[in-house]
Amino acid sequence: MRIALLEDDQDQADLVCTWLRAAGHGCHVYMLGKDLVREAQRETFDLFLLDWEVPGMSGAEVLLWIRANIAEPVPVLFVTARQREEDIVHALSNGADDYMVKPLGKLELLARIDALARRARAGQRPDEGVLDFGRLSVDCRSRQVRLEGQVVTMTQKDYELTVFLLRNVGRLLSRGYIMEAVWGQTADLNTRTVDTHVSRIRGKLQLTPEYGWRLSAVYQHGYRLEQVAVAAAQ
Amino acid sequence: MPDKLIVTVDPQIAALVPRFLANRAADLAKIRAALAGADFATILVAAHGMKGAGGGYGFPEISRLGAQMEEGARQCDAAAIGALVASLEEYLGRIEVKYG
Repeated sequence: MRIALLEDDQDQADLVCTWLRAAGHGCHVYMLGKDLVREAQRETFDLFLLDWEVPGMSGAEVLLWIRANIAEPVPVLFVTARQREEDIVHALSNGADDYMVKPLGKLELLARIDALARRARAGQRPDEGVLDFGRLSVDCRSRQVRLEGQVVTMTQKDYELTVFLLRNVGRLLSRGYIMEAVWGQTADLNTRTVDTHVSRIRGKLQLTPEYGWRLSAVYQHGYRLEQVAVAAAQ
Repeated sequence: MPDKLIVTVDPQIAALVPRFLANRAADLAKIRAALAGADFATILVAAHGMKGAGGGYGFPEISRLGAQMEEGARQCDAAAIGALVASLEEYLGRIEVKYG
């Protein structure tokens, strides 16, 4: 998962990021609420971990911003030293999905993140071996993409990008998120690389409205793959 | 000289622990200076950070002392904070970290 962490204490941020990265997650740290909000307008995250007490825009204010401005129900886990019942109720009633009181335990934090991820995925396509969209299908076991039954030859990265987009149909995905998911967290690439690969698979797989798809570039953000009604698109 | 106190810490965070402990030693000086100037707001921030991070690093005693210091700062209780700073200094001087 790609996780945004709001935490102004460097020791705490280093600790949590170390745990998250060791567990296979991506961790992006923001010391100020306004910095996280600015980044969240152009980046995609799978989960927000918010400390309540940070300078300036508080975690509680960031939470309200997230719920008012991000259309997807991205899970929010509050992590704070506040432990009064009214604080917990305030966070949960304003849209947080879970709440943890510092000091944190590694295993509990990771378990809660996994639980939130499971809940968030509940309404999405299961991680099955075959992604079947009618004329377009992907067999994830043999790593083959078929268009109208014919195997489409593609590079490994094009294949991985195809699977990633098809598993996130309808979701706005930032270029940074796509790069981390397909090329890896440490990839040092120009974001134009994403554009080049997206353009290629759009053509190869006919991800265009006349075939029931729209793979659109969203200005200063990234891409969204959507299924559209063929009749309406024509 | 008091006995050493062995604290076993998760090896996954071995690279972070020396700086964490050095920062707590720096907190001692910062809190003492703040105490001399009756600057309880600075003490509150430092104590709050200790409370939040200590247990996660494997030092629950630092969280415990941080929580008490935070409460002392809220109450502007210089005597209590002074005693807690001495306790923290004594604890930091005794601990020996083992990873495992």
